[in-house]
Amino acid sequence: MRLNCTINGSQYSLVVNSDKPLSQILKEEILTFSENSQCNGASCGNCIVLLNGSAVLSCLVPAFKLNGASILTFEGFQKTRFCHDIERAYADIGNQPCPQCYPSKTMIIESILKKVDKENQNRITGFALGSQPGEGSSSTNEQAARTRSGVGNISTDLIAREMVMSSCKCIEISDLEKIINLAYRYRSRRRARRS
Amino acid sequence: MPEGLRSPTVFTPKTISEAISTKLRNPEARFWAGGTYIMSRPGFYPNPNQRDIISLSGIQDLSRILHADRYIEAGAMVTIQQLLSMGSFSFSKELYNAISSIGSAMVLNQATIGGSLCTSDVRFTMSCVMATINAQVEIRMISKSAAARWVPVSKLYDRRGNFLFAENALLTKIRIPTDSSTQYQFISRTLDSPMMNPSESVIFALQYAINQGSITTPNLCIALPDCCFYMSQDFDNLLSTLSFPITQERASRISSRLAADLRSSVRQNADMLQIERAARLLDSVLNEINTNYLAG
Repeated sequence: MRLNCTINGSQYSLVVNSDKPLSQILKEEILTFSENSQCNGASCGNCIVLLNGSAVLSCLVPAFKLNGASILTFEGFQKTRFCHDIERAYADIGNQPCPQCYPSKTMIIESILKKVDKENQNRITGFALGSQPGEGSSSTNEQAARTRSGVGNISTDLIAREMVMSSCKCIEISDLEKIINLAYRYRSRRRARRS
Repeated sequence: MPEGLRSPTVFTPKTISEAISTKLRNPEARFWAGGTYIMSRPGFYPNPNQRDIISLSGIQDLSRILHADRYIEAGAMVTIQQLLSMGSFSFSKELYNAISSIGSAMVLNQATIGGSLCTSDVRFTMSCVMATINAQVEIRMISKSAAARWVPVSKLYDRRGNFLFAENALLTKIRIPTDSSTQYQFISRTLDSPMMNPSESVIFALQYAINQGSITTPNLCIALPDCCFYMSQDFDNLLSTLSFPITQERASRISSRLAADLRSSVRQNADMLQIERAARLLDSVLNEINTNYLAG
């Protein structure tokens, strides 16, 4: 089948088998190297990419679902400032994933940050739109303030659940929690400066 | 494209009847929902004997969610994440947690309700949870009349966990009761990942109410993902004879009875460890209910 899609910002038109997994398309047709999965679909978690903005295991997405899709691999993500936030957090905490799972863990962290960001934006919009003067408890106002400043509301449970997909245990959940919170703070600060 | 490897034809029907007529014309083709399970099987690609595919993602009727007073009716192609986005207002907290524990957000974004109920040989948390809360599914038979009927989720599988409508029906909708959360309590536990480690995983779900110290209308479902789907009216009756508080010995006797029942239900390849785990889970849940009862 002919497949038209955008990979790391470039348009591609490929002829591939309709059931070929995205991970193999990236490896064999586009020659990206960050998806170093060897599991052939057993969900080792080393082939994570962003498909239309959401993190997916590329070994579980067949070619026929990719027409018109936008795919961002770790190679593409590395060039964005969002990746620099995470790398800065790695450096500040003094711990980072092993080379084997570095791309996939970074992409998982990005998807967690995106998810939390979206939830927080919804919450802030909710406070802005829904709250009336004199309404709402002080705790909810505090929560809104915390949300705006981007301070630690990313739960360990959420991180543990997301990291289930990455079988490599090279980094502790507690360290990941610190990294994610720190990266989120950097991102929030930059957003605040820009606005 | 590797030599000798055929690219499967992908059919993209736009309506349910079109999907059924496509299946009638191409009996070898298989329905494709989210694809997470099919693609995670060993030897999925490259496979020279790959069957043609009927992709259901273009059928809008299968992606709708209807929120009624007493139930949520979701199309089979609704992803688990979309179902969860109905929020904890629609489901009790325990049920919401049980559904969200099925996998990471990545899996929940890809896996569909229909797909997770219709895998032919492995049962997932979704099947157990939905069977326990008495959810029903609409299935369309693969025939010219495409007759639709509603079937309880508990009737979709045999005792060995095989999906009974694998080749002759299309699951189109699921109706999830939401009013039961006010009347019943719900407990669910999953040990190990049913997808990654089906031969050691155990899924446990129990819906019950406590009335004057007795369990009433219990609904217990236990799945050993690759070999057993256990729901028993006899065992539910046994649970309903319990009057709390119960002793540790009584709880142990009940869980031993469960282990014996499971041994007679499972396929020959069942791991005794799984059965023991299921029995211990019931034991701990009964103790938990006991503690809660004593704490008032």
